[in-house]
Amino acid sequence: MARLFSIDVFLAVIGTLAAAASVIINQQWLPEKRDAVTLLLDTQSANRYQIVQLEDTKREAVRLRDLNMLYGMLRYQTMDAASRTMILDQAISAYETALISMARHAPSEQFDATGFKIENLATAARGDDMAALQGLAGEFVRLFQIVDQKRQAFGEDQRTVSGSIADLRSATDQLAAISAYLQVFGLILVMLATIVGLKRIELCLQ
Amino acid sequence: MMATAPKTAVLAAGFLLSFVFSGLAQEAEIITLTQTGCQFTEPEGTDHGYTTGRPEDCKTINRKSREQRLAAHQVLRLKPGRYIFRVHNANVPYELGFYLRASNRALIPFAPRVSGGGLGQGETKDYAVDLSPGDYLYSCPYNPTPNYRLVVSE
Repeated sequence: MARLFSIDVFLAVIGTLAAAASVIINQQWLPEKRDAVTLLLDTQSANRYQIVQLEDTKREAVRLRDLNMLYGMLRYQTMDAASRTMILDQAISAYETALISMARHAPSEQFDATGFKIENLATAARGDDMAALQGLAGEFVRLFQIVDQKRQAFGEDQRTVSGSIADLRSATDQLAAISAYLQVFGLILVMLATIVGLKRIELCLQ
Repeated sequence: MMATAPKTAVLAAGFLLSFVFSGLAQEAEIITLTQTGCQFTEPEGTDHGYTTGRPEDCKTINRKSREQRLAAHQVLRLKPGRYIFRVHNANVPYELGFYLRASNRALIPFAPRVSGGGLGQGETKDYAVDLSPGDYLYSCPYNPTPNYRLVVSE
């Protein structure tokens, strides 16, 4: 039994175990970590798309509101009633486009009710109803806040995802390094075991 | 000769007026729609007899039955032109409305649309709209009903 557990056998066993551990790390743990990174990268890409969409919507909404204000100012420069009506119609259309565009980012089940409300307010506002115009302005603020909150939420999520990706990449690098060290360590041990074993055979023969 | 001139003018005017009125009559086609609890009866082909005291009741009913009812509903197909949607609130005990818009949400501000509320129990209101080819949805968000399809094509 004592001869069975000699130093060369011990070195060979440890070396083989190190090589096996390296294989397990390479074939099992590293692909899992890499898959998780790929998944998170997909999420990051989808989030980025949403953020771009939301930023575009916010920017467009502000531009359209400015356009509405510009039309509003122009309206009072015009003496002709028909032109005034036409300018008011354009002003409301600009507002309506901004509101519907923002409403698309609000919860889906609320979209119809919001669209209906906007449409009714716009129809009344075209008839020079000041309360309806104020209603549209109020709706603009409400929807802008929803879009902005959604943008913030995606930003937060993006930061969390980026952090997770960095952690996973760091863990992947560490595992890859450990795997490489284990391979070299195992190889050295097996080589040592071979040398020691050969020397033992030589000694036995002498 | 002098007496026939005004007579001819009157006849011509009468002819023109009748032409204009017949043109107007042809121009706007009337589509009658009836609302009962949580639904329009015409596209669904039947009155399901849902009892509703407030819009929240319909939200619960629709959550359970919307998919089935929309799969079975009859799509309204029209030619482009002017239409009057004559909507009647048959028995819903609160104020209803009508909302017709493009089915693509991005196109809503640019496509023909019509909306309005203030439709009390037993009342009927007209909603006029010039429809161009495209896919539309109509519903009542106050009832609320599912979104029924309307297709306008040549």
